Amino acid sequence: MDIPLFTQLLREGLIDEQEFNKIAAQKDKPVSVHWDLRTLLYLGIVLLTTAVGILIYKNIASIGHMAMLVILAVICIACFGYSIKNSKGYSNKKIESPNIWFDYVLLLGCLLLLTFTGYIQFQYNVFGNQWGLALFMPMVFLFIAAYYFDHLGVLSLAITNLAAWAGISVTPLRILNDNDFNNPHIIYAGLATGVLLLAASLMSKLKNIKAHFNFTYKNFGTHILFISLLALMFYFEPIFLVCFIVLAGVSYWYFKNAIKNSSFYFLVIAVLYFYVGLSYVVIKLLLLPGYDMGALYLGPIYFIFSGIGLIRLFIHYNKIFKKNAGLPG
Amino acid sequence: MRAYQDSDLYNKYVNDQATGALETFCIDKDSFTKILTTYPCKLYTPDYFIRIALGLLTIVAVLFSALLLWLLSSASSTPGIVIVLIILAILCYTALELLVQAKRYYNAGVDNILMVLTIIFIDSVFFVSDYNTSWIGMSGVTMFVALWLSIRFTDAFMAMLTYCCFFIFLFLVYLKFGDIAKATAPVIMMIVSAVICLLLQKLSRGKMYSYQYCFKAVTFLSLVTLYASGNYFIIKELSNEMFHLQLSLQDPIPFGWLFWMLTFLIPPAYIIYGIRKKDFLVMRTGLALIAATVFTVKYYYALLPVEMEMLIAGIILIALSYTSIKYLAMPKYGYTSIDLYPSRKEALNAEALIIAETFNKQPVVESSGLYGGGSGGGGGATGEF
Repeated sequence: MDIPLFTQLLREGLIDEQEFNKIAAQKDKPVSVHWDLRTLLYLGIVLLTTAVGILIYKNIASIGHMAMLVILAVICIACFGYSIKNSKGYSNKKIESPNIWFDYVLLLGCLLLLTFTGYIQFQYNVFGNQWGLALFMPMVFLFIAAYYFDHLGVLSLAITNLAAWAGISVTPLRILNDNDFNNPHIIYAGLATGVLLLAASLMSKLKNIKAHFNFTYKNFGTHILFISLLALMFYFEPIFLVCFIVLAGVSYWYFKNAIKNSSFYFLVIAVLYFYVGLSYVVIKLLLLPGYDMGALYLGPIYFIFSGIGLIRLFIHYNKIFKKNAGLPG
Repeated sequence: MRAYQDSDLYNKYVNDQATGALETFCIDKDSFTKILTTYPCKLYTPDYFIRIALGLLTIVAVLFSALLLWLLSSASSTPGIVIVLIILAILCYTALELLVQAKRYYNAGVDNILMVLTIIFIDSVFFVSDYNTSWIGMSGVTMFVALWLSIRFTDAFMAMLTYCCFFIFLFLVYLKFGDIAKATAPVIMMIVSAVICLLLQKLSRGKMYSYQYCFKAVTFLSLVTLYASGNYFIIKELSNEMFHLQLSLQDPIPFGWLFWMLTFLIPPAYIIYGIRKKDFLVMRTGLALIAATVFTVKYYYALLPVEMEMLIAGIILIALSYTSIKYLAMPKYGYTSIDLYPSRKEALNAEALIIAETFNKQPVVESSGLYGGGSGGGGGATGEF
């Protein structure tokens, strides 16, 4: 920190002696390499688990399926045993994890559990033709683990599992690539999952059960819901205007709520998804017969003005939010 | 020369310092607000997320303006398109100047994108014209435009672009001096990188607070180019490509041992220097460059099957980081593995997303009957739900 600057601030009476001493002592304080080491650890675990996966895949003939399953089960049980032994017990409030190691051991246990259930289903068809059950069982377990051990990463895994059970992919890079939005079942599944996750978010906040999980639920839920709503509009062409009105309604509700809760993130998301829908409707209307060359000019003009308009809207609300937070500007 | 008033930039610097002091619990909220009201910053700099949204919208607006202009001009010949591109570049720059003056955007997404688009429109001229694309001309012109933008708007990305173009420009011009130049190019480029790096270290200690991010960004690049200029893979493959040497994988290059040594020594040297001087930029660059060295070795010498290499690397990384975490749990030599200010909720949320993305690879149930009401396997699950 710039000590001469803070000396000046002290002289101007903006900070007091005690605060200045704290700032001056800052340079003798140890520097935290917490996130650097954590990143390296994470990288190591990704490399190791991937390598083990490839090794098993290549040598499955000599290891044998039964032996493999036993090894997986033993490690999995050991991981959960360690986690239960070291955990601080369940609480509705946030629990700090006992150490960095704990988080990763628990994560490893959960990942192995998923591999294990996938493996027995694929190899021995334990759940028969009920593939849904093979995803449902570990999902329930993941949710219990996420709540009991208070782990956001496991919660995210559980949510992606829930979505997979409903038939959709929800992780950021796969949400648009892996899903076939030309299939109405996928769209309905997306809508239902989105609403369910939003309900979970609301409940966790209202009932004060793991209230810090609420953002993760809401984030996943919001994106699934909006993307499914857009897909609904693209799919049901004859009634696209009705779908657009629904989208507009949901966006408006988000917009109002975001302003109430001072959450700029959700305000921007709601407006941007609405903008995609609106642009679709505008293009559709311009493509109606009768516009001809006019459409070619009106299209760009719409995008130029709407783009600038949205920029102004965002900046306007951003300034209001800042003011509400008690910050000047 | 700068588009912003000195007092605005200075107040921004004071605000940033005060934010740092607040986040490390050195000052309380009252003092923080007092500092902010005494040094009001009229520059508009929103959060990263909003910057991205504003940037995207700016791209939409400008690209459609370009489309409209092109439609109106109905230009189809090369000179016509060149004129349209130049007009677009001028329009972008004018919009940038006007917006910065009227609204005082400072890293607001809008101004960053307008700068980038100005450069893109100018560079497109080189691609549109029928002549062979002149890399020297393009890097030279881009260098000067980016330098002007980085000085006028104190923009770090433009500073990085300036450095990249300067580096390419110098390299290409130097190669024109014949065979001796070709042989000595790596050494010269290393010297240039080192000189710039040292120069920036000196400059950043000075009073030019508004350019601190520019200096940091270019320092990072100069560290990377210093390594890259001495990297065996880059030297061999680049000269192979540029001078059509047709070397095979096992063919040696002159002074190969020297470049192998540099490839191996530079990253650890960065890490050690960074740790000793508590310079995180140098240390983290060194860590990332270790990966580059590993890939360089792997390219020429396949020692083990890839999964064994991953296994070994994984074990080494876990062992190294785990022992460091344990060892530094009590602060030693001015370092600690404890998160001193664990108020960063965003980091945890981001971590959770990364976990879901990297680890979740199970297949998705095809056409599940759960919500669709079909007669598939999901039906069984519905009962339990």
